Amino acid sequence: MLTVLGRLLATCVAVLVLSIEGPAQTGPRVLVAKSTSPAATFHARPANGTKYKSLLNESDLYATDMLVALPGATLVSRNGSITLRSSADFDAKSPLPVLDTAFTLAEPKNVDLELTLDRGRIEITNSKAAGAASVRVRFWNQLWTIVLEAPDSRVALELCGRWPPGKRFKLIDPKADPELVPAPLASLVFLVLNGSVTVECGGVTVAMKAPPGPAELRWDSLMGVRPQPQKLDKLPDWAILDTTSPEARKFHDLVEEFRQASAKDTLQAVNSFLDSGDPHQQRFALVTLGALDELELLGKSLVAAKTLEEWDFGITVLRHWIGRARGQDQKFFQTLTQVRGYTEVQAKIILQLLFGFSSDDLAQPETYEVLIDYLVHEKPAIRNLAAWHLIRLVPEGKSIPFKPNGTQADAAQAHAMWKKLVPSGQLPPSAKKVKE
Amino acid sequence: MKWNRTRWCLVFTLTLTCSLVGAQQPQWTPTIAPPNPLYSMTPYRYQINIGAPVPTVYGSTFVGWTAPFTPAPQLFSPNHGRANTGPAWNPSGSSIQGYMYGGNIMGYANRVGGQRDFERAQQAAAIQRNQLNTANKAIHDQWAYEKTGVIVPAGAQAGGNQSDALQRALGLLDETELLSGESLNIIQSAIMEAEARGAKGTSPYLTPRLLEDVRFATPAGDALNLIRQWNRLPFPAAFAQPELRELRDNLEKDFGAIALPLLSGKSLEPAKLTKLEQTLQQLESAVAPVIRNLSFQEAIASRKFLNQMANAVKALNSPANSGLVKATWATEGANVNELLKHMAKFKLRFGPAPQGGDTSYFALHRALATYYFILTQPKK
Repeated sequence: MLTVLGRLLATCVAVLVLSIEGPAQTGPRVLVAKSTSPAATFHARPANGTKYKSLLNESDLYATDMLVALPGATLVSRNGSITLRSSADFDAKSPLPVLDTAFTLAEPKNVDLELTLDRGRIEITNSKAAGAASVRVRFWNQLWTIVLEAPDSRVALELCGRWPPGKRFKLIDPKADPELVPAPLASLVFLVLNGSVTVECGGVTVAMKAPPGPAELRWDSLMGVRPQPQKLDKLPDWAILDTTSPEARKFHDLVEEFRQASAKDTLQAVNSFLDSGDPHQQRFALVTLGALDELELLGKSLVAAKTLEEWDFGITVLRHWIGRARGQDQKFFQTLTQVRGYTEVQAKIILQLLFGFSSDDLAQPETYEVLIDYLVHEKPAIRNLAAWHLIRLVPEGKSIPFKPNGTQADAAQAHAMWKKLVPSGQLPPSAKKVKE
Repeated sequence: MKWNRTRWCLVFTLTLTCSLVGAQQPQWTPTIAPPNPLYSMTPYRYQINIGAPVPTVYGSTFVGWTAPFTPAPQLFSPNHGRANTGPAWNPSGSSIQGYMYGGNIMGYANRVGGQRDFERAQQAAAIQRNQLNTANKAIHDQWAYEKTGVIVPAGAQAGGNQSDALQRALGLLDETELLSGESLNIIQSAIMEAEARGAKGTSPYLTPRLLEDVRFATPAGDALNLIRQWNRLPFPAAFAQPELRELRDNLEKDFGAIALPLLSGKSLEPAKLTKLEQTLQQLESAVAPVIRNLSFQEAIASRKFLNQMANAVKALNSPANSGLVKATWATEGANVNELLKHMAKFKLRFGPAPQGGDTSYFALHRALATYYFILTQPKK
């Protein structure tokens, strides 16, 4: 009897394990493109998976996989008509926050390549020997069809998002209608880099050409698409690929060093970059953690960053992570409460501190007072976030020493100095000047 | 032949006059309608005007027919299908439904109403134009904040000159500005300036109920606000926690002991104020660890209450604030002139409306704006 029960139990466990580990494969995977760059320039996550895996040299790329691309990663469409290049701005040169690039390919129907841009910057080129090539791009609730009129016609798309400052975090029932979940602001810039293109967007077809000419289209989540292309005399600086300056060469070397290390083991590469003490390497590692949804490791940077750079930029990456799509803030809240053991109130404070403050908030002395109170909070994450805002809002306090991985005593010392600089009920000197 | 020409001229003039006289209520609509791709036009930048400018106390207003110019086919314009988009102003003097006037008002008030509609429409168009880049700018600003710590605190973005601000405040273009007290402060300053120039007029009456809802900023204002609410102090939810209950009750008792004599016109007893100060200090020490474990909004509300209470104690300690509490407000009310004089004496400013105080703030705005119009109306 016991044996039968044991077998039944074992079967149940096996079924349960299989149902968790063996994702339901709904059909054969569809090959839609091929990587043309070295190993580990792409990381892929299946649609129903949770972990990213680095791809080998010239890997096949399949529909529905989420692809995270290093700067310079390239792919070519299945029919060879379109080349796509990632121009992720890991070193934060762009006027908009496009730290990392991620997209999903789809099986193309009546076009040469079809994809959903999740975030970041991509460049799409017509690589045919002759004739036009077309791409269908989805993002948020948009569907754009881009026809690159001639060989070498090239366009860039840049998509990014952030929560508006002062927005209050609101916990939403996971079963609620997804459309009711609050969304961050998002913005997309479409730029013709070379040649002529036509773009079908918002029910309108727009003819565009590289500068000088109507070269730029914009969309944002508040106003939607504005299909009146803006004329540009020349390409903006950020859109021109710099390969010659010493900074560009250094950045290229950094990407290559990371790629080589990542080809062996991505997380080990990230850890070695984080431990290096070099600010550029640390930034690279932090962006990668965010891009690969490694919230656990990113959370460690928030709680016990070893250097000021890791603390400072780690919070930027977290803000970037929660701002990249609808529902990211809810996911982070769930991670904090269910995985990291924070109480609901603590998690709400963290989310609010990640969202930031409106100008009305900043006109109230109480905002600064509460931030200073949080400097001695029992949770280091809250202490670190409060300090991150304070040094930005009150530049006079930048000289107050702060240790992101410090003890309660260190925090108490910083708290006392901040209290002296911004007494209770008063605005800090910089805010007072603005008010006057 | 000569007669014929004259007759035609007369018929044309009569037709033009009738079309202007028989026109509808002023209707200003924003002339930009994104995302209509075929109707791209900057609002009020290019338009055809047939009419004449009319001088008013606020400057010149245009009376006549206005048609926006756009190279886009009118088939796609937001006005497509409308019989007539003008004239924008009705010289017949029919009623204006602005709350400040109520029923049929002719002449001057009508001109003001028409001008206000025009300003509202311009404001709406400007907001719409600004919104085109709102998301992009917000993201860019957040990115700048992250990168360098650059921030634009409140007040820095406030643009426009004093006259524009007064027009906005009088026209009630932004209700949030009114409920924040900002519009009232602007009108208050304009009234004080007009009175300083020697202007005089009948001042509207404010009821005790209305005055009860008025809130003041500045430390002396905090004292006045709290004293008038002595028996229902606005404790934030966090103060209901058991560990704070006793201290909260003590504070209520000590504060009542000070407020009651002041409200009945008696002078302040220093010993009672010292007792209140001690209780407040005890409460502040007990609240500090509690605040750290409140949500951000609750923590802000708790800090705000404590700061208001501390400001009130500080203000009451100052001899300059004797006579701050007007006992007659709660029984007899006051007129606008008396209220503003009292505010000037103690350097008070209007603060944000309390919850449920919207109606009183609208009524106060009406009273202040009316008084301002009376003071600035040209003498006949």
